[in-house]
Amino acid sequence: MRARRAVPGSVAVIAIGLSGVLVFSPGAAFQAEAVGTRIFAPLEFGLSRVTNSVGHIVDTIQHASELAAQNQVYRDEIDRLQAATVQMRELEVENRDLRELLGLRERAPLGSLLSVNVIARDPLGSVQAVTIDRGMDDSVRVNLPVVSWKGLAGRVVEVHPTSAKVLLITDVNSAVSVRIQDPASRATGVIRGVGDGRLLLQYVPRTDLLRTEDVAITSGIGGIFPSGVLVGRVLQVRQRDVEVFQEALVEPAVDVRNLERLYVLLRPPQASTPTPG
Amino acid sequence: MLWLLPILFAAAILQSVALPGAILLGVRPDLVLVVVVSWGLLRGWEDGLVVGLVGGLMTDLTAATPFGINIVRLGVVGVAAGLAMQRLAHQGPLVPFAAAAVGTLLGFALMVLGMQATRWALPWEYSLVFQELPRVVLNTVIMAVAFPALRALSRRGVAPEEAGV
Repeated sequence: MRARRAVPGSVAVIAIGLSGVLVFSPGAAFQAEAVGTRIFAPLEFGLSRVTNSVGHIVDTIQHASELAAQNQVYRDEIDRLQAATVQMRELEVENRDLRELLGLRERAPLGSLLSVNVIARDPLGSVQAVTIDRGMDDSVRVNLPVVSWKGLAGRVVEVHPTSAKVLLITDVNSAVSVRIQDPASRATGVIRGVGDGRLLLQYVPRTDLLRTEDVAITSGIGGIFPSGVLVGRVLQVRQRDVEVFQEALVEPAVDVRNLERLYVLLRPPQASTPTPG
Repeated sequence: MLWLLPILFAAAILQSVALPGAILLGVRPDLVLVVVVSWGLLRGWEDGLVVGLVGGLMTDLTAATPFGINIVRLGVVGVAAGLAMQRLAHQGPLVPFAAAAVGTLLGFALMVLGMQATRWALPWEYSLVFQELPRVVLNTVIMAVAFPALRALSRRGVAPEEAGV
């Protein structure tokens, strides 16, 4: 089955050496990534475009009688109205999205929003992250929050000139400081990803009120995420008598499996940055 | 062997962009790993190493995991595939399938170690059950197509005197 090898040992040694430089030298690795993503990002962007089907107009049929011609006029009119209805529905969805976004801006001084498209996902799913089509060239920086009109999606963890990688809040390496929106509770805690697409709210003192269907929003503590952004809804509360804290399973507001358009908050509010002492 | 670069490139792009959403139960096959394992089986550990390192570099460029993990992971898998093939007494038709399955699990083990070494958390129990084991099946199925194709290309890519023809 095996043919004689084509690569001499020296080539293998050189390959190991180059790989060692890339793996263990952060500067070289960053340069290599920057060059590599300049090649990969446009291709990913092009491939990620989903082309919708375009309606075809057929107008070559000639009718023998006036009645048939009139019938065709009516049919064309129905088609036109149906197309207009579809367009209106699209506008309605867009209008709803923009209203939600406007509401998001009114709830918290979020700074300027940069609209971005998701162009790729982590290839193996080891880390729940997506690649967006904007990067350093558009003022995207590490640790900037990323939201959708439904709520918090994640934060930027890696930036390249024309693309950036966003760690989603559902990843186990993600941690967000949150507060329960209910004025009767206002309990605070930390939300982490579980790995299966859901979130785990931790470090909520047992004395604090925590119920299912409670809404969790960002607290602003930590300085990365602005306060008041919707994170998720409590599904199940877990309490044990022997533990000081209670925890809860939370369903994220953003469906991370179907992300298409996101917004990077370019200037996080300085007010939420913790001050020493 | 340069003609293998576009194949690795296409595999890396495909598994990051086109495959998500059109996949079974949310699991993506590791196309680059399938190419690396196939090449290691066909051409020995030196070729497996080089293809693994290059494929790992391409995967790292599209992945959000710390840079370098996939270079090491696929490099080791390529070497392992080549060495295993050299030492096997019986090189039956099921060897590529077994190699795809074992290579996938070895790659996962190396990914877990790499993530721990770089202090990134990975829920390995959940990932093993709901991602890697289904991925073993997917990679093995893809091997049925990829290995014969790469073997044909390998025979074309080697000079006649080099291939012992």
